[in-house]
Amino acid sequence: MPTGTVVLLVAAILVYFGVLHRVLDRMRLTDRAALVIIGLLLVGSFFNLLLVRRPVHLLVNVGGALVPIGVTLWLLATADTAAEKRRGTVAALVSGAGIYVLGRYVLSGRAAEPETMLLEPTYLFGAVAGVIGYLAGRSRRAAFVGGILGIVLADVAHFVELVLSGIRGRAWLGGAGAFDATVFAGILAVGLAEVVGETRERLGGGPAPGDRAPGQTRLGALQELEHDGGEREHG
Amino acid sequence: MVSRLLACAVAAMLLFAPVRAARAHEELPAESPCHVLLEGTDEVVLVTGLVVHPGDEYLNARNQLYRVVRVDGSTAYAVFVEDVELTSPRASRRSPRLAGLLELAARRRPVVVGIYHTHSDESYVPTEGTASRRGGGGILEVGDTLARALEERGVRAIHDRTLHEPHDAAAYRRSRRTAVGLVRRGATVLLDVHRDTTPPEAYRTEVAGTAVTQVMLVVGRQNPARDAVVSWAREIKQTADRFHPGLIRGIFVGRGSYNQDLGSRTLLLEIGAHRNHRDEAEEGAALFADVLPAVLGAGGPEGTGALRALLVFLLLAAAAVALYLYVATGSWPAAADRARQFWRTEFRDLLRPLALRPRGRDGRGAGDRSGPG
Repeated sequence: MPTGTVVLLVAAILVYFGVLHRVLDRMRLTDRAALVIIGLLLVGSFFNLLLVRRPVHLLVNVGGALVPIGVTLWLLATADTAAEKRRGTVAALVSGAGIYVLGRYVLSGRAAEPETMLLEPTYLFGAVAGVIGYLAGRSRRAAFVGGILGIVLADVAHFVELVLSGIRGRAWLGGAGAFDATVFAGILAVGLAEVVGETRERLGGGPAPGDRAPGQTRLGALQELEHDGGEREHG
Repeated sequence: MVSRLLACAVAAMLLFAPVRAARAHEELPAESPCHVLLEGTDEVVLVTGLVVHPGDEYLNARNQLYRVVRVDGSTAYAVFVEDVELTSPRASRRSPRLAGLLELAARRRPVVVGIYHTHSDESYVPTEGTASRRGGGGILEVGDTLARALEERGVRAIHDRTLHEPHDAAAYRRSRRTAVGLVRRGATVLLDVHRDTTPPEAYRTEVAGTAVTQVMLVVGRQNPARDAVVSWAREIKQTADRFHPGLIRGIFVGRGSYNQDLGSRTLLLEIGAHRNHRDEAEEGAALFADVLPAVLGAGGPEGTGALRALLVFLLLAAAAVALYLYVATGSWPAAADRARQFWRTEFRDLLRPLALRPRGRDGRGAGDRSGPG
């Protein structure tokens, strides 16, 4: 492969995993845990499990689906409150339904071609899953859960559709490994939650001047707010 | 209240913009191809079922480059940009076929061509009686012919017949998994084989007295490696023009990525259209296989395309981070402050060993003081 392209790919992969690391950081995972998960994503990308053989193959990629699903289930299980768990679950269900309906019915005919879409299909579905996840869950964690499980559930719905329609196709969960729409969706979801959350804080005026300790900068107050209240709001 | 409105606005933008796009295109008949006309004249530059947008480019069979400037329903208008001279320094020195085969043989890792079909239902009406066949269309047979012809010419080919149906908006999301699977199986070249939706005469031609359909090379421009892919596509066309003049219809560079972010040797091929006979499409595929070995062995398109893409990519990433920090902090000085703080926090552990180890005259660092003596 040409050197320039190799450098481009390496840079893209480094930025991608750097962003993924920050996303996992936002999930209150330690640096080490985040690195272990990224390692599992990468190594797991090379392994597929055949879950169902007939009438339609259902394959699961370890890095592209099993590890992300595991992380989301862990996030749901360790959520602080029952309400947060409920919101995360609802976010996943609504996001899954939204993704399936969008791909199957809304973007139909010529609009199903990638050249008509505002974003590439991989990013479009991830972004939509993220937005729905964030709106339904209203936190970074719920957005992450909604983004990842939304794509997974939409793929499961595709499997069911193949079985019902008798098409001898192949349904795949996270087949593109670490670069699958499933992982993109989780990253985009948290990214959107981050930007929307920060914008909301800005529009809300941020911390009042009186909230600042003597000598504390506005930035410091913002960071403190993010650390305390911000986690409740977005975390 | 304001924040909720903002969140709803973002959601509406992302959700309803594609819906609007869908409605806009639903107004077109499903099989109505787009006619690209040279602006100011009635000259037809291109007829294609692909959806055309301003900014798309088309290099025709005579190597004339056009750029679409306006789209009005199913008619688009293009301007002539330039006559492109396709040159290959490697090919100019010796026969492209010989050059390709020699370099192919010299490679330690064999070139493997991965062939798949995002729209696995696509068919040829005169042969199959329908333009779309559930459970696998005639396009799979064209893929078989291409793979077989490549194998006969000494190039290893993997034809993945995975179905990605239904033919909906998620088809590319599904086919991406097949494409990545092919890369895992060793494919260094990816070809997504389709057929177009145009009147048959748009693709029908004769090469050396045989009726064949032409092949159009499609490159996605929403792809960081776009320039590298375009260079490779031009190299293929230049070689094909020498072996089988008239086989390559042209190179269309349009919106989309078509999984071409997976590598610089990834192409979407439109082999014929739905109203062409499949036999002719298979002939076209076999001739295309005749061309490919010559460009597969070559070192590939280096140029400045990939490096320029790298620069653009890094600049975009930096701009996105800067914008986020500005939104998060409210001012550029505060954003810079946060960036500095991030740098100090994230790299503190990395840099600490260096900072704590001033090297003495004996070359031992401070951390070595606990040694004997």
